[in-house]
Amino acid sequence: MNLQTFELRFAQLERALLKTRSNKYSDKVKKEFHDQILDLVDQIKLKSQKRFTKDDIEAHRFILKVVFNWVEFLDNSTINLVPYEIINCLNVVLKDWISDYEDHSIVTSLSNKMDSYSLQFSLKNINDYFATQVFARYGIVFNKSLIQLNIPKYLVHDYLGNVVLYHEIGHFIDKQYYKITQRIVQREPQFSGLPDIEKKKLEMYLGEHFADVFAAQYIGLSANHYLNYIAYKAPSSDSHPSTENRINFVKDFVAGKKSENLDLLMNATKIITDQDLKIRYKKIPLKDFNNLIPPNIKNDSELHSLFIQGWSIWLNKNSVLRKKFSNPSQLNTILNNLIEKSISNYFLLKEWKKKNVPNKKRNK
Amino acid sequence: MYLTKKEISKLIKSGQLVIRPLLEDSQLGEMSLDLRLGTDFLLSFLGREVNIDATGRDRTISSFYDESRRLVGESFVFHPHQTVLCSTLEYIKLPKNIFIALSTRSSFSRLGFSLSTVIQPGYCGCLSIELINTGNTPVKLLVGSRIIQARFFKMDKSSNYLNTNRKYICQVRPQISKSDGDSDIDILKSMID
Repeated sequence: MNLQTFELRFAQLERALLKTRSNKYSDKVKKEFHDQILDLVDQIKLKSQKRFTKDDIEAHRFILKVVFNWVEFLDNSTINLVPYEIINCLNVVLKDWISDYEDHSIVTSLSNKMDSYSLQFSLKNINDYFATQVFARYGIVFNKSLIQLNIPKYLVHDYLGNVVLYHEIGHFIDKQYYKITQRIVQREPQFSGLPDIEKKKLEMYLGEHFADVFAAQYIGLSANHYLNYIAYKAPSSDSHPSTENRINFVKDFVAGKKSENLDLLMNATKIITDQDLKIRYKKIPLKDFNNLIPPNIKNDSELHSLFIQGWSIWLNKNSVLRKKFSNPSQLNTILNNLIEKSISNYFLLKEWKKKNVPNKKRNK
Repeated sequence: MYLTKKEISKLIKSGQLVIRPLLEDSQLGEMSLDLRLGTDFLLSFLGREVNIDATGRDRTISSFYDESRRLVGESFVFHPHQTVLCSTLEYIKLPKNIFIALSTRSSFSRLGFSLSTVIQPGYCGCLSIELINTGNTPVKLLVGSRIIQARFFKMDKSSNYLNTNRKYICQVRPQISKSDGDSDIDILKSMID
């Protein structure tokens, strides 16, 4: 690495940012975040880079790496691109679990790969180093945080597939926010004698189970159905329990059955977050779906059940809609459309009620 | 028979006519229902091909349109003579014996917009509307504003919208023309082969 290659990367970043300067975002946090990035890059530009020492180059190499990653996600999260219906549902979940949810914003990167749903982890020590360097050199503090989700580009409006995102938010709550499974492995006496490599594996396994159960609170067995296709009969690996194990774990949770590891997760979650892992959905009737009408949603619990009911129609060979529409592709479009409209109506009506002034009082 | 406010209101209350969301009761006038501009748009643009080929022989029609989204309350600019496909904010399900005629509200006709289309009995979905600003000046509209007027007509007999294979059903955002998918296109093309 030398100054010239750093300059190359800086030029690339400037070019990428030029395209994003007029981006329109769906919430203030993203806009503020973007403005801070522009401010930081402008300040780096004002510095005499020719006089950068080796340490300066090293620090800036790191700063640009983080910033470039943020730009990628922000640029894929404009109003035109971001799937804001599902993101709104996930924001409801965040509000259930974290008190400072307004300081976080879910951003998405649209991937060309099918089934590439994931949470982009940003490690604490990386964030700390970045924060220290940026504050020391430019006096800038990034107070907000981005929750970075990768979503397959072709499945943006696919609400049966997008249930997986509830699982990814579970990872955020566990690994990035409360570190629940890490604390379990570190503190529970029965794991104290395990070699480090086994502890790491156990933490990964518990992390997957936590994210699965976390999602199931809101969407029941929906993610199980999808998992059983995309990871069909997958054996356990270094990072993931077997698919069968994961599916059974969620089934137990939804059925209210007890098991050792489930109890461990539930107890630790209660102690660490002061929240219960519990069923948080209330199923809506299928009547509206069957009549091809977007269901009227009354509250958040009903909102999440849209996905459960969508899956129940899809899986049932004898469902009213299956009988009405023999073409699966057409049925899939109809279900996705009804779910999407139902979600958007719910949030629009909420906002309208907040802002609406009765007719008589207008124009006074 | 042309339906009045009282009759339309009765249909809504009985659940035979579904309008979701109906943000304000005042959208229902004495003889029509106001509908709002939706959040999704398809914009025609000049691409590498010289014309849109609706004969089913060439590139798909979708390659001549760009998608764009807005939030309710944001603005959207209609440039002169550009075809913009949009949809109503409201998802509607019509009874089997009621059809509606759509037109732009007079306030918006005066800005240069025009629309005249009929929606069949039993239709369900957001209504696709093709808006063209026929004036010479770009016009900025708010997403969610009441731009369309629907008049309701009752027929003597019912018809089943789903009896035939429908190209547009339960749509929630504007759809590209499927004119090149008409079943008689192949017959027409074979006549000169």
